[in-house]
Amino acid sequence: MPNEVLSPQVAGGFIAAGVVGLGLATLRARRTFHDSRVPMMGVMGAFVFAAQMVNFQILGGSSGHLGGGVLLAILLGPHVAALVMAAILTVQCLIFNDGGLLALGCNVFNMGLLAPYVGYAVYRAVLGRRAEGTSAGRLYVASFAGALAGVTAGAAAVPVQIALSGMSAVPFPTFFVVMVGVHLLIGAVEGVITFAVVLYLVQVRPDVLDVAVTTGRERVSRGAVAVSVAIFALFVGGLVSLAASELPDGLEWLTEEKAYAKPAQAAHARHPVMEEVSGWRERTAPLPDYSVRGQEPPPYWTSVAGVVGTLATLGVVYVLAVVVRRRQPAGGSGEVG
Amino acid sequence: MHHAYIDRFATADSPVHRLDPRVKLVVVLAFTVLVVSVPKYEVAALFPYALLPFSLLVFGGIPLGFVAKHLLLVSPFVVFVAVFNPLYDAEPVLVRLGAGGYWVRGGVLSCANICGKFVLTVSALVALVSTTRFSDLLQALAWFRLPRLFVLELSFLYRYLFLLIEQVLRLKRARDSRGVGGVRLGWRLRATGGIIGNLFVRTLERGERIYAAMVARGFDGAVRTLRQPRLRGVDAAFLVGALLFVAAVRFGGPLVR
Repeated sequence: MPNEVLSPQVAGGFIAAGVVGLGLATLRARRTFHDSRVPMMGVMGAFVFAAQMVNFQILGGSSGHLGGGVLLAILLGPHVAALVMAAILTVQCLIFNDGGLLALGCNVFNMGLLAPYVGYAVYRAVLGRRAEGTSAGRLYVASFAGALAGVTAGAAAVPVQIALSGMSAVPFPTFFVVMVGVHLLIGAVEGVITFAVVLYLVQVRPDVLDVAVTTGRERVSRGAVAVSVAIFALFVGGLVSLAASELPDGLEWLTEEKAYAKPAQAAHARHPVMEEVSGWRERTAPLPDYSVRGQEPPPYWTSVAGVVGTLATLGVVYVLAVVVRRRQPAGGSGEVG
Repeated sequence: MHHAYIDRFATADSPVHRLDPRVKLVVVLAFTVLVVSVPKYEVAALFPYALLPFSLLVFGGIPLGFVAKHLLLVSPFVVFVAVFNPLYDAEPVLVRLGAGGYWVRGGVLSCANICGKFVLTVSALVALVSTTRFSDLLQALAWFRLPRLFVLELSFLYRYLFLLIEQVLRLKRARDSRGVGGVRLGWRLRATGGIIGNLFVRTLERGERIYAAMVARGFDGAVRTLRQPRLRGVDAAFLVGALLFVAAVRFGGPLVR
């Protein structure tokens, strides 16, 4: 998520929430994970990055890839997963500039805390209490459902944060349904890949999983596949019914569109007071720039001067920089890459 | 290779590269907060901010084409959110240019505002990352009391990132060379699970080896580096100048008028 769709207040609030959440995760993780194992967590972050590059061809040209939060929670526990995801998101922001500096709090909250914890809770709930001797089929269903729920939960928080910020004009229900809908599909792909990784580990290295599987029952049964499909259908069905209840909203939007076909006249006709006010404003401030209702418009020349002045200054800075860099000793101490 | 270009300018040398990483971090953070706090219908007011990231980029010798390409690469989500504003926000706003004025939808302005802020804040971040070594940036973060363990985790993530990416590229090449032609969905899924599972097991073992090697060399949890940050006069001048500039652009408008 980028900076620009957030207000500073919401961004600040979620930075605080992220810090508190990570602090709690650290405390819990230390019970099982010693301080000195931090290098391992860093390397695991690099693993998730690399795993995200493995594309899985679905149909035709479309392909999906792993997000990794829930898989890590299943393999290393949710507390460690939260800390690893926080590091991944920080590097993603700093090195790849994917996700803004201010939005880091929201991103850590959604993908670093919500996704692993919700995903792990669902995974554990499906798995049941018995820690040893669970059937492989149940394990597969649990990892699929966990990944689906984790990804969806993380995505569902995004429209809430954007709506709290008031930066997007898209009505909250519409945005929410679209965002969750898209991420149900992404979550299903995540679930299928998580499932495949767990399947591999059960068969090849069962010792890295914290759940023991009854021997002789490692294969995927048709039942497990059927249950996975049923869980996905349940999620989609819930969303569709939610979307259906929002349909009148969409229709309202269409009719509103027509009313605003000529926005200026329509708005003026409906607001005689506003017309009076803006007429008065035009007389007193002859050259306003943006006149938003209730705000004193700045005189136009400031902004035009600002734009032209900025462009001119940028040009000067550019020429200056070229000159300065020319005067540097050629092939000096730098240019290692 | 896909990953080699990401921060390839960070190890170069320029006046901007030589600035104290702590100073650059503070300036970029303050810049981002102030730009994001600009009201949503302002567009022309965003222009003067460009001076800061632009100066850092050109004096740092970062090619502007590289920055533009990078901006496009990370833009999809912000464009996806902003592009719907003109449809939904029909609030009429009067825009005047010279003698003529016309009404536009508020959504058009807020869309331009979001995109403008995006270009400003991301290019500032590119300017920071492209002119600062990651290890120096981490040292700056540690100086600002980011938990030591988290900084250590970040440094390991960065150190092994490229190694593991190359490993995964080899695994993918192996898969692709064995899977020529149409193969069943189930097989493809199994291969994906195998690659990632295999990578996980290898990473787990690698992590254990790394830790054992570090303990053998006397690792006690502290990381010591030779490059010590030092605040020079230039750094202080840049810090004060840049902060004053951004604050003046953000809060000084009414004074100029």
